[in-house]
Amino acid sequence: MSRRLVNGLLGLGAVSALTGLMGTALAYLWPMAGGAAGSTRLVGREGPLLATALGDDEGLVARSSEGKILVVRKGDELIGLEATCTHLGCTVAWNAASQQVECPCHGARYNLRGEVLRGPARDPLGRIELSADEAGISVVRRLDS
Amino acid sequence: MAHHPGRLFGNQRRVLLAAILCLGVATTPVISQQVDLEEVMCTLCHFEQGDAFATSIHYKRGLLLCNDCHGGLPFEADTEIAKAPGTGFIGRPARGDIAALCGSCHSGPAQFFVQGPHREWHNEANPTCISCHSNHAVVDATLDLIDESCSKCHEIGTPALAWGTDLAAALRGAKGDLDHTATILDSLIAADRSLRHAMPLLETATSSLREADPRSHALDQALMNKTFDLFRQDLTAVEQAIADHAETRERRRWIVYPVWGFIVVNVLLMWVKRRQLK
Amino acid sequence: MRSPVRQLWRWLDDRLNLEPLRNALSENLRKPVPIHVNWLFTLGSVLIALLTVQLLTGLLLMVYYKPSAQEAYGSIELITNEVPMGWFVRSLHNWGSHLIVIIALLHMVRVIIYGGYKRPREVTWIIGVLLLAVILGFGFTGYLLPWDQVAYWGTVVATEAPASIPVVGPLTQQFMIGGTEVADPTLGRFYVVHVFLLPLVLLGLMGLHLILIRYQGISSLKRTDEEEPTAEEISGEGGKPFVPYHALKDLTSVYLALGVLVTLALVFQAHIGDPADSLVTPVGIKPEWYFLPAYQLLKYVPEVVGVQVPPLFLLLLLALPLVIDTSPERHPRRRVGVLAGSLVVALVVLMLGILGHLSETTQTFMGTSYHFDLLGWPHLVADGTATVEVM
Repeated sequence: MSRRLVNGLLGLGAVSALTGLMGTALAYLWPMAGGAAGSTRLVGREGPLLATALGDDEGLVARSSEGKILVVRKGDELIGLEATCTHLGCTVAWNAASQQVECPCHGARYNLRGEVLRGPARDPLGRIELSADEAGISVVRRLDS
Repeated sequence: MAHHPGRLFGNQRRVLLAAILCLGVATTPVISQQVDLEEVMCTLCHFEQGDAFATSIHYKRGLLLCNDCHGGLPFEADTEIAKAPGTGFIGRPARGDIAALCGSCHSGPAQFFVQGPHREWHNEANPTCISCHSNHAVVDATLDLIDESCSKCHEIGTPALAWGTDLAAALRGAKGDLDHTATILDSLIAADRSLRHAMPLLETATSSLREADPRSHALDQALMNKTFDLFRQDLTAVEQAIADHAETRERRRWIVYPVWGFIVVNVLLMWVKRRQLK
Repeated sequence: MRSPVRQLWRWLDDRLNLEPLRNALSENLRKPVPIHVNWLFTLGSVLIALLTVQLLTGLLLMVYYKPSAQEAYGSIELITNEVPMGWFVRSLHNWGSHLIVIIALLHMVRVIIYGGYKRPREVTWIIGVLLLAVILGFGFTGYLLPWDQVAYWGTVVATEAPASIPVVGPLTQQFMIGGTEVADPTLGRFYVVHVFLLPLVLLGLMGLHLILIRYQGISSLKRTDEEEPTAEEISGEGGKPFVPYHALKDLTSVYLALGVLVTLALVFQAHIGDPADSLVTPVGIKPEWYFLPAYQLLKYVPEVVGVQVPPLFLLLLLALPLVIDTSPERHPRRRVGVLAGSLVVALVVLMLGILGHLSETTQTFMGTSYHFDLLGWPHLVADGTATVEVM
C-alpha cells in the first residue's frame, strides 16, 4: 500500500472516531422537551389551574402543551391568548385597569383579541380556545389560521 | 369484645341492616379479633351452624357474627330477649333478600349476579349466593369453587356446565399469565431498575383482571370476553415494555462488532505504517 | 495559494515567533527511543486517553447531574433513561474509572521493573505517585455521587476509619464529610473535589509529568552513574524516533484500550441500585475494589494502626527511589532483590484484596459451598445451611 493511502486511511479513521465522539456528545446535549409540555391542561405555579382561581376581569399565566397561555375571565367567559410577546419574547400580563394585555419589557399593548394596540410588537398574539371543568382549564385548540 | 351493632327499625330493615352491616364491617378491620364462639349464645342451640361458621373467613377475621345477617342479640342467653321484636331478629333471611344481604358488602358480585341467568330467585332451581358460597362456612372464594359449584345442578355434557368449566379455565389461565409476567418483571427489575417504568403498566393489568371476579357472576360470555380482552391488552403492554427493553439492550450490544471492526482495521493500518517507516 | 493552515501558522509565527519553539518540540519528539522500550511503555499514553475520556464524559454528565441529596439519584435516572446516549456516557464514565485504576497500577509496575524512577527521574516518579493518589481520590469522591444505597453506605464505611486517629481523628472525619454523618454537605464537598479540585490538580501534575518525560527522555538501562546514551548511540543500536514510530504504537494501544472500554460500556451497562436510605444499611456493603485491601487490613489490625497504612503505603512508594532502592543499577536482571520485594508487596496487597472480596460471602466451588467469614477464613457449609461463626 502506498504511504499516501495509509496516511489517508489513518487520517480518515481518526476523523471518523472523533466524529463519532462528537456525535454522541451532540445527541446527549440535544435539547429535550421539558416541563409540563405534555398536557393540554393548564398548569399554574401550584398545580392545575382551576377556573375558580380567576375572579371577573382577572388574568393569570399558566403553562400547557401550547406553551405559556394568558387566561382572562370576562364574566363567564374564559379568554385564552399566547402569553409570549411577539416582540422579543417576554411574558405579557392582563391589566384590568387599562383593560389591555401589557408587556412589561418594552411597552407593547394588545387587546383581548390579541390584536396589537401599541408597538414595538408587530404581530398579534395567538388566540387559544379554552374549556373548563371541575378538574381545571384545558386547551381545546388554537384559533386563527 | 368486638362490637356488632345489629339494631333494625321497621320495614326498612334490609336497607338499614345493610348500612349498619357495612359500617360494622368497615370498622371491624381496625378491631378485628375473633370473638370466642363459646360466648355467642346462638350457638348453644344452633351448634351445627356455629361449627360451620367457625370455619368461615367471616368469623376468623372478626368480620361478622350471627346478628349481622340474622339480627337479634348474640350474647343474650335468654332466647326471648335475644330474639325479641325490637332486636331486628329476622331468623332465616328470605330467598329474595339473600343477594341484597350479601351484596351490602360484596356489591360487585351481587350487582352482576342479579343481571345473570340465575337472577330469578322465585325459581327454586336457581342458586342464590349461598348455594355456591355457603351460608355459614364461607371461605375465601377461589376458582376451584366454580368447578365444584356448577356441577351441583348442571349435568355433565350440558353447555351450561361446559361454559362454567371454560370460564374457570379462562380465569385460571389469565391469573397464571399475570403472575408469570409479574415474576419475570420483578426479577428483571432486580437486575436493572430502569424497567421500573413498566410497574404502573403491570398494576393496570392487575386491576383489569380483578374486574373479572365480580363480573363473572353475571355469567355473560360477551361481558367476560370484553373483560378478558381489556386485560390481555394491558398485559401485552407490560410484555411489550419488557420486550422493548430487551431489544434495546441487544441492539446496543450489537454495536460492539462494528466498533471492533473499525479498531482492527486501524490497528492493522498503523502496523503497516510502522513497517513502511523502517 | 497556500493552504489555510499554513497561512494561519504564518500569521501567528510572525507575531509570536513560534518557529524556534516548533523546531525544539519537533526535535524533541523525534529523539530516538531506547530499544528496550516495548509495548508495556504505551500504558502511559493509554492513561492519558482514558483520563481524557473521563474528563469529557464527566463534563457531559455534569450538564444533567444535580449534586444534592434530594435530586442526585433522580438526575442519574434521567441521564440513564431519558437523555439520548446518556446511558452510554454514564457507562463509559463508570467503566473508565475502573480501567484507569488498573492501567495506572500496571504503568507503575512497568516503571518499577525498568527502574524508571531512578536518578535523575525521581521528580517524575514523585509526581506519578501523587497522580496515583489523585486517581484514587477521583474514585473515592465519584463513588458517592449517584447517591444510591451502595454509594451512600460504601462512603459511610470508607469514611469511618479516619475517626480512629487519636486526637484529630473525629474532627478530621467530620471535616471530610461535612458533619456527623454522611448527608447533603458530604455530597457537596465530594462533588467540588471531584469535578473541580482534582481535575485542576490532575491537569497540573500530568502536564508536569509529561514535560519532564519529554525533557529528560525515556530512561535507558544503563547504570545511573554512567553517562546517559546520546541520540546517536541510541539510533546506532536501532532505537527509533518517538514520533512517528513509538507514537503509532501508543496510538494502537489507545485504540485497543478504548475498544475495551466501549465494549464494557455497551455490554455491561452501568446500573444504579436502590436510592440511598440513611436508616437502612443493606447487607454486605463494601468499598470499591481498589480500596478492598485497606478495608480488609482494617479487620486484622487495630483501627488506629490500620488507618495509617494507606498513607504510609503511598509514602513508601514515594520513598522507593529516595531511600529504598538507591542502587545505580536500572536493568531488571540486576535488581532482583527490589523486584522480588515489590512482587511480595504486590501479592500481599492482592491477597488482601481477594480476601476482602470473599469475606462475608458464600462461594460454591466444585459442588461444595464455603462461607467466608469477616476475616476471610472459609467455613464449610453443610447441606445448604450456613454456619456463620462470628469471630
